[in-house]
Amino acid sequence: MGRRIRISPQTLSLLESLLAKPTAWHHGYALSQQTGLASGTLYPILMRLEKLRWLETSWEQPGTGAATGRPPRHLYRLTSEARAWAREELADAKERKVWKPALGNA
Amino acid sequence: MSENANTPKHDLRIVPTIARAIVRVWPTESREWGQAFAAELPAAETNQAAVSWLIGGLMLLLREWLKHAWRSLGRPIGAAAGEKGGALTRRFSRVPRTPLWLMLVLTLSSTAILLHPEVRQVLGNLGSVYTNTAFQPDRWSSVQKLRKISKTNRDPHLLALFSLLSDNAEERLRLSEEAIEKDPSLTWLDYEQSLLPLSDSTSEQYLSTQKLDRLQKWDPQNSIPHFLAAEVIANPVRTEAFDAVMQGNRTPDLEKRLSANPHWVSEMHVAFTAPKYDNYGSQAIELVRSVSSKFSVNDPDIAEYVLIQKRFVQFGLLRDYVQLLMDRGAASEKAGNAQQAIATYSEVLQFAQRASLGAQTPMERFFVQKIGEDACEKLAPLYTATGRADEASFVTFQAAQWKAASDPKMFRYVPIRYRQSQWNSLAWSGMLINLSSLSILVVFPLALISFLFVFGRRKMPTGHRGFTDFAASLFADTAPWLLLASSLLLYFTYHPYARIYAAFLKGDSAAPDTESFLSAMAAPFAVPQGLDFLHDPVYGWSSLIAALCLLLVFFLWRMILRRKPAV
Repeated sequence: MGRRIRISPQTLSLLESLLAKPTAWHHGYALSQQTGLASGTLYPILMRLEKLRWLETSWEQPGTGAATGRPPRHLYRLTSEARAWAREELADAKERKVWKPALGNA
Repeated sequence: MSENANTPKHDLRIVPTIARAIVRVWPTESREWGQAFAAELPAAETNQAAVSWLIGGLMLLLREWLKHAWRSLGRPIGAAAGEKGGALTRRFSRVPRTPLWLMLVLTLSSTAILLHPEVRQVLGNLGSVYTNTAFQPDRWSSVQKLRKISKTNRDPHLLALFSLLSDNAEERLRLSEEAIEKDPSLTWLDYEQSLLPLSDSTSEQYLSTQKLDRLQKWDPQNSIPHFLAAEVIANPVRTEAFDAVMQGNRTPDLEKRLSANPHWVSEMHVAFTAPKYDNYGSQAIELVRSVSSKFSVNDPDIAEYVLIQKRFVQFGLLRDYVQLLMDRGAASEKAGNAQQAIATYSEVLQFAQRASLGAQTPMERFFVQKIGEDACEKLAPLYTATGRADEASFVTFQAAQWKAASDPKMFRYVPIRYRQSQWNSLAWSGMLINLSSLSILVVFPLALISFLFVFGRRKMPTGHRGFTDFAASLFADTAPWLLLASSLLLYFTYHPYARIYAAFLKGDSAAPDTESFLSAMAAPFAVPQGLDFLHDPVYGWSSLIAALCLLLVFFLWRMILRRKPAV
């Protein structure tokens, strides 16, 4: 991705979750469940990733599929560029032993 | 999709209501994220999870509001939060939002307050503290004004005042001589000029004998000129004792040697039996008042300087003579000569009574009343023993009256520096005065620079503006308010003290006493313990520079943080 930035362990956990199914769309509550991050921590990270254009966001179509009966949810996935960068960062963090994968090999 | 959910799995009905309220108050530019957070609530599986999610949302809301408030400082006028135009403008495109007329009104109001004589006076006082010129009257504007007047107007009172303000021994003597020649009622100046120079105690010299004689002849009823004559006689012995102390030798018994000198004893006796005790304090104050009123100069610093430099009798010599009399009285008592003992003790008591009436400072009054009480204690039993019950009753009453006047619970005299509660009150006023003045000192020039900068760059396209434009714009907005707040704080904190000075200089029946005046004068110089560095020119300026550097670091940090965001 060109430049290196400071990445927190919480961000690494989120990247790991997003990379588990890299092309699928994820929603906030599920990501919170997988990473153990509270909403107050999770959303600022998602917002920053989106601002850096490393995260794609989308809204569920109202009345589609299982979403019927509740408001449409916000969906997230890493951009194709960001996926490569995220893998690189995770590998680097693992190598430096500053972070331990929770979902097996990312 | 990693998970599906249809209907809320928790049964807290209040949660969606709160979530909707949160979304409603979410800042516009990031409301989408508020909606995203709220849309996840139905997925929460338990009540606890729903509440926890909600709390996270509240924290997120707070964070977004803080960010919104900070960003709004840099948003150009007319661009709403989250608006496309606003988002596209550069980060530093801020321009001042305070209307020009309001800025002018605020700045002019502050200037009017700063030009008020009381505020100018306190700023002058503080200036002298910070530049270490507090006791250099020649640098005060009021004294400079009087100096100009004195070039054409040789008013004896004006000359007399200058003779008290000058730190040059020759000038003091010349001016006081000229003043006395023009107005002999000012002969008391000889007492003030009797020991010069003021600045160097090692080369002090007494006035010539002729001048001392002139003072005694001019004021023959007063004990003060005789005390001065006794001082001159005692001077060689005192100098010798001082030198012995400085050289580490055995100190000669001063009291014994003075008691053996008949000239000294005779002069002290005349002083103790003189009809009045007047150390010319009231004349000095009246001189300041008359010059202030005649030449429209209202500077309490002049009065304070004259009072602080005021000459007093040497209490050590008084004490030595009292001891001599008390010893003589005791010897007469021992020899069975009660009449002689009564006469000796009475000399002390009568002096104490006269001096107590004429004393103009609490310190003098405290000292003479104490020696008077000692004499009363000796006299009462002697009067009783000799069948003079009325006189015994009188001296007992006199001693009781003085004791009551110095009752530790009611009237004990303690200098203001040691009166904790009153000193604290002064110190806090002093701190506010110092801080508001420092604030004015910093804000005023920065405001001026900011105004000029913003004005000079008014035609610069917003896209080309940088951090300096942002900071200048921000400061141009806040400076008029800061300036007005600081000026008001300074004026209202100092005003009560300024009223005391004004009343003192006016000198009417409601004028405060010297002690109250001097205490009030301490206000700008008093700060709470631990803040003494405020008065230190080096530490004061260092602290100011450190504070400005911290501010700069904060802004730089923000710039760096924005360019390299943490994820």
